[in-house]
Amino acid sequence: MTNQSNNTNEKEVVLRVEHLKKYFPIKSGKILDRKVRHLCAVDDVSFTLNAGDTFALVGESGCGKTTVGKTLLRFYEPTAGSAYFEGKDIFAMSKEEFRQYRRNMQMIFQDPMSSLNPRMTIFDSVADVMKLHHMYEGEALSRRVYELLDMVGLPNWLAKRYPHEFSGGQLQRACIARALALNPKFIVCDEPVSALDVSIQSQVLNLLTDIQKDTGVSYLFISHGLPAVKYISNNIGIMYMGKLVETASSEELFCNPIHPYTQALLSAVPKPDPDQRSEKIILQGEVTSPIDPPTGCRFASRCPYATEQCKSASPEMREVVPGHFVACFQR
Amino acid sequence: MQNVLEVKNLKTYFFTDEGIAKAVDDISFEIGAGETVGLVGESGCGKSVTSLSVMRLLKAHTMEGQILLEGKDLNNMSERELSKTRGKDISMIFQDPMTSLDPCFTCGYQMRETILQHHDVDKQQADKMALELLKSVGIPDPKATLRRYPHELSGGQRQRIMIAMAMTCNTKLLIADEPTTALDMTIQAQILNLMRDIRKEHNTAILMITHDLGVVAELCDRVIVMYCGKIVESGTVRQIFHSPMHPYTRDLLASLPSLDVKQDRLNTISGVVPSITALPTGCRYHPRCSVLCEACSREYPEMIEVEPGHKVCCHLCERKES
Amino acid sequence: MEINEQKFQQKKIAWIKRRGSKQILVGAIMVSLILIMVLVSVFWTPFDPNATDLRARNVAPDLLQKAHKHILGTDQLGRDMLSRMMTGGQVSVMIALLSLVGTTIIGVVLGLLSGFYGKWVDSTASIIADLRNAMPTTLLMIVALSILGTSIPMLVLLMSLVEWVTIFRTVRARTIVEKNKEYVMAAYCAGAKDSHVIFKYIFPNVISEVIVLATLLISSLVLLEASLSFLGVGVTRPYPSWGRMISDGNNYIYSSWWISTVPALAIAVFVMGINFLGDGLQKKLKME
Repeated sequence: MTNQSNNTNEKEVVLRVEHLKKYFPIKSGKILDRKVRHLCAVDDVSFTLNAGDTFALVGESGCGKTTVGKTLLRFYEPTAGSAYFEGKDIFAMSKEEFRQYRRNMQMIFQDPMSSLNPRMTIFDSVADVMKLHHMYEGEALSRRVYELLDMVGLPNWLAKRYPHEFSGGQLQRACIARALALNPKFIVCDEPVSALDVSIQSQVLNLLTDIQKDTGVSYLFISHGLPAVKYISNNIGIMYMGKLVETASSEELFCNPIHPYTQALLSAVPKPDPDQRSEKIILQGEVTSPIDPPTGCRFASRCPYATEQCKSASPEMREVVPGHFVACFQR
Repeated sequence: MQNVLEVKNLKTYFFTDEGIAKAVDDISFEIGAGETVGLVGESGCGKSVTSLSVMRLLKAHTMEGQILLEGKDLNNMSERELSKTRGKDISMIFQDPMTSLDPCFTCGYQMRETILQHHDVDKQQADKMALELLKSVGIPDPKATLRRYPHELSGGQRQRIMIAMAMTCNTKLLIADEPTTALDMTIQAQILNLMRDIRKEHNTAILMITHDLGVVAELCDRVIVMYCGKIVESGTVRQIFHSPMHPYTRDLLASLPSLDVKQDRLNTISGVVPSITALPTGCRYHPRCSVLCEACSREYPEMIEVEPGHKVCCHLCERKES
Repeated sequence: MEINEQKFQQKKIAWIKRRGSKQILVGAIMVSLILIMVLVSVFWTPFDPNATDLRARNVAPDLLQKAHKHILGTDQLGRDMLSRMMTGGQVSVMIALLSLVGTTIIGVVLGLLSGFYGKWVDSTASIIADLRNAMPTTLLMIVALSILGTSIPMLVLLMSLVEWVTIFRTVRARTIVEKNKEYVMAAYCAGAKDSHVIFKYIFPNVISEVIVLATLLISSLVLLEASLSFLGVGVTRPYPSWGRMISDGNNYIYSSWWISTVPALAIAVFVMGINFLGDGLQKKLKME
């Protein structure tokens, strides 16, 4: 393990996100008496991603993990913060500048069925991406498309078919092929396996790691499934209501979870072994609304260890063990 | 042990443009009183169709076989008898509680209506019962919840209300169709806990339909594994998880990423689930199977009992026996 | 217990037929019957549709009497009804189709723009659509045609402005749905511009519904043209059109009912056929 952390230090940083915030204004009330509240989807998130590594963002629905991914690709404009991709601040770029730059950053979505144009064949979907950047013409283009489909394990004779003729797993492969078409350095994988069958999930996860080994691409892997995250990622960030509560390397986090929320999350994963029906940490209550969240630790209302301090002040990230950051007063 | 539910040779077929979809093809199983049985399989394996067939909630083009609920055949029942049975002896909770609650009425109203339908009580008593039920499923502030509309509640709370409504009559069999799939991990743990408590208190038999093997290991006594409309293996949880016999079950268990050890590579099942309208001949798993023999592609294997309670449908196991 | 495969096949065929295929067939037969007659009339009609024969005025259709010359009888000037119905269809169908093209273009372009860009584009277009819907169509058409003068191009132009709201609303709604799908995001990821996304990604997914709607609109446009011509502000005199013919026969409805009834039947068959066709297509589309 020490070996690996040494390696990560030497690796080049692909993406550095600093204090990213994204608030969505919610307008309510009458025209004259308008109240604007804020949905704090992402609140002060910072992390770094090294070349050829995978950083996983884990959390429950509504915790803002997908918003982080989409804001990084500027589907949403950030409220505050900066993100440096290979040293360049991508939020400072103009729209047109970023459009050209976007080929370095791709995204794979959760639902493969809706992420391919139903009126285009798989071949055209992959080819269209390259045509946009005039990367290949004629013969070379179709050779490249078949090469990409080959890479993700889709046989050539399927290329000229439409999405509805494919199964979910095959479509996700096609989406991966399309994402790879522009030789990106960074791919946001937004729950890429949650919509797939159990037996297909492992195929796609293996494919993603194979591609990473071959091309050195970096992933931001967004997921709620902890076993998959453990397999694929080098570093993990646990999010709760828009905030990162714990970041650590994959091994460290699973061996030594420190934040009470992380502990509860880990214990809640049902294990496929009837003899391991372990005692679970059952959290009381549910995730509260991220609209105008309370000051103080956002987990305080469900936390078994919460004190007065937790309810009044917001904990900062502290390095508890080298490389292991936790935002909690009690630890 | 007396069986609450016995399903014998159930066949549910649909007609589509591509041909006949044998969604459920000749399956038989039984559930004992107070027993929790997990029905696992991938999407399209027919597990949901099985549950809907048992509830007779399906407009299938053909449905044959016997569905015996304590000896009464649901498949031959009239619509009127059925609606009496549903909710009283057998009830169901679904994956998405939002769609199974009526958005136009408060939770209290819906619960009261359900209670009035099956109990001989007046409105005040029904409201009192609803309150008790909500308390028993662990809803904080049950009085206020009764006045709320479904959309005002979170997914976990809606699922609790669905469970409370299903429990109004001390049902003998509760069918739960992916009850925790739409929920978050920490909420899932809460709901599974609740189902465990209910089973203990009311001695209700549960048919748990899920694709999540973890949930099955967590909650069930017995497991039925389905693949492409057929049951391929059934047995106790320990038999299935510790000594799986069918190659599909084995491959499925092996392909799960583990939380305990860091793996370099995941085991996979090659190929894709075949379309339900174009099933392979012989054993339906043989194109993806790693240990197939010559008979696999020719004929469908018989179901055999390898050890007490552990049934497998595979040619290779048969040979081991003889 | 064994289920007969053949019985399955039969059931399956019956099931597919139920899904609107029969409706499409009947509709297609009705529409093509009229269209063939109209097309034939360009080259040949049994009689010259404008030739008057004062000795054979108000002759009843052949079925009602012994003479066998005018199959559908003649009108008050002794012109052959069949020939007039065939040529009258030319004008009616042509006007309907041309204004349909105009309607579709306006509806699709506005719908795509307002669905895609939203904000002020959307609110402006939606207000225009609401205004259009609030106006009494026939009355306004009569006023406009009497001010601007009646001619076939003017009729086509004005009729294009009548029915676009349905198409606009559908296209707008679909565009909003499609625009938020992940494949559009993926296209942006790849660096696509708005125009590329609209034409290559959104438009092809919207068009199938437009085709069905447009089919159904033909019938209302045929009816609109007929009512305008009936009221005397539509097609002017040298050209026969179905609406004009009904209006012409109006005075003789008690003595020679067929003068109005023959063109009215042509309209009815055509409109019903179109509606069957449209409904059937819609059902087919929904199943997919």
